[in-house]
Amino acid sequence: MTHTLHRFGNREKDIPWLITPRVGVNTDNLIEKLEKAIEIIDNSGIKMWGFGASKNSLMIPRGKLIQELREAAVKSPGVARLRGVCTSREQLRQFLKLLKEADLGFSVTISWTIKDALEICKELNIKPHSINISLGVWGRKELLPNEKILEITTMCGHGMVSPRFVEYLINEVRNGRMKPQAAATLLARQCPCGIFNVERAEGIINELLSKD
Amino acid sequence: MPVVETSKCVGCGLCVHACPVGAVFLNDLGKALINSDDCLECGVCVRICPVSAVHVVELPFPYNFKLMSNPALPKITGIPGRGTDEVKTNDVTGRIKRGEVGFTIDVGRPNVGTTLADVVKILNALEKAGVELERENPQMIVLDSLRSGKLSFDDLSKIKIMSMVLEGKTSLSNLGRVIKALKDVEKEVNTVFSVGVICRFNDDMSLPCYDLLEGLGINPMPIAKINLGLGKPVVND
Repeated sequence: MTHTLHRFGNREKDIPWLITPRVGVNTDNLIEKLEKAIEIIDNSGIKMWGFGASKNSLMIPRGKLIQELREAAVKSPGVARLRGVCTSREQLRQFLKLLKEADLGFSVTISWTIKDALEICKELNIKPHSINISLGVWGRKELLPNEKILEITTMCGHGMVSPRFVEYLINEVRNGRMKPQAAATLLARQCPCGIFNVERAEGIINELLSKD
Repeated sequence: MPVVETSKCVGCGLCVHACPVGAVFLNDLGKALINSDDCLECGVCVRICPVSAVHVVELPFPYNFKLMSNPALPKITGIPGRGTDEVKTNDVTGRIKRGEVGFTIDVGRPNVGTTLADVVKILNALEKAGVELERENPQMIVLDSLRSGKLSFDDLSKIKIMSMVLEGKTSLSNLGRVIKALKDVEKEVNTVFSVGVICRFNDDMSLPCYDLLEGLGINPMPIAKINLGLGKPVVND
């Protein structure tokens, strides 16, 4: 799936990443290597992550998330894929630096502006292998929600964040029944993969409300 | 399909607002109800319910295709995941080789949804343009059901899902033919689709498909999903 590829809007502080073991290729000592990857996630200051398109770090307590990941690694190694989002260039740099040093052997992808991604690769002496370039949205584009709403909803590429729900929550914030951060967090819980950028969503909600 | 256990439902309405297609409503008693015709089986209502009042009930063929809308249910079609690893593990699988170009077509994304009939229209267009469709993708189960006569095109037009990722590859020299096919088929479908083009980096970090795309009048977006080549053992062909 290409659920991190076609995100709308300013991507300066929005860099989803995927760590993908491949069954039969590099899944020896899978649990130990996944635990090392989680240590790297923590040491990079990444708050939002999940695994296997099933649970993210905002949906269940951290200990339970890690336990479920361990169980998945034993029962169904193909599901034991880590996904998350970096919220700054510095955070991404630290994350990739630690991943490269750890040499876990898992495939790593980032979805970002090509220019910035190649710059950071050069800084870290990483030689990218392949690329999936977005050619944007085709077909009946008149069916799409407005672009600002799409900036929020496309942070869940599977379409689990509904434009109607975004509009409802913005209205709740507008009427003082909810804080922007709480609205952004509730939206993020709909994206089980863990690639929804809460900080960015909060910023977009504030931006939209400032135009009232 | 999701079913609400009304004795548990507290009528908070979260599922009503969160449903991506407006298939949930509150009845006169203030309990959630789901319109099964509109429901895409994405599972949002199941996950958001604060009292676990919504449950998934197994669907018969061919309506079980709708469960592909739910990313948290990875094995509905018998093929793990919703598509394949596309560029994600290309460093260790080498699926897309030098001289080749891969395609990922996210039909129904973002936020529109699609019928399986529109999925098939795009698959047919890709195949006709010389794309080798990826076998390890649920797309083939849909296509094979149609071609074996198990389902008619009319059946497929009645099954709506949140999205489906179509995948295939061809030679770089055939890129123009595929782009033209996509330009033609975009006028025939009643949905949107997001297009991704996969290729290997050249040794100097240039991209072989970039100039070709520009030559075809396509301006690629400045964003991409990049496989960093950290997987091992790496495939370099």
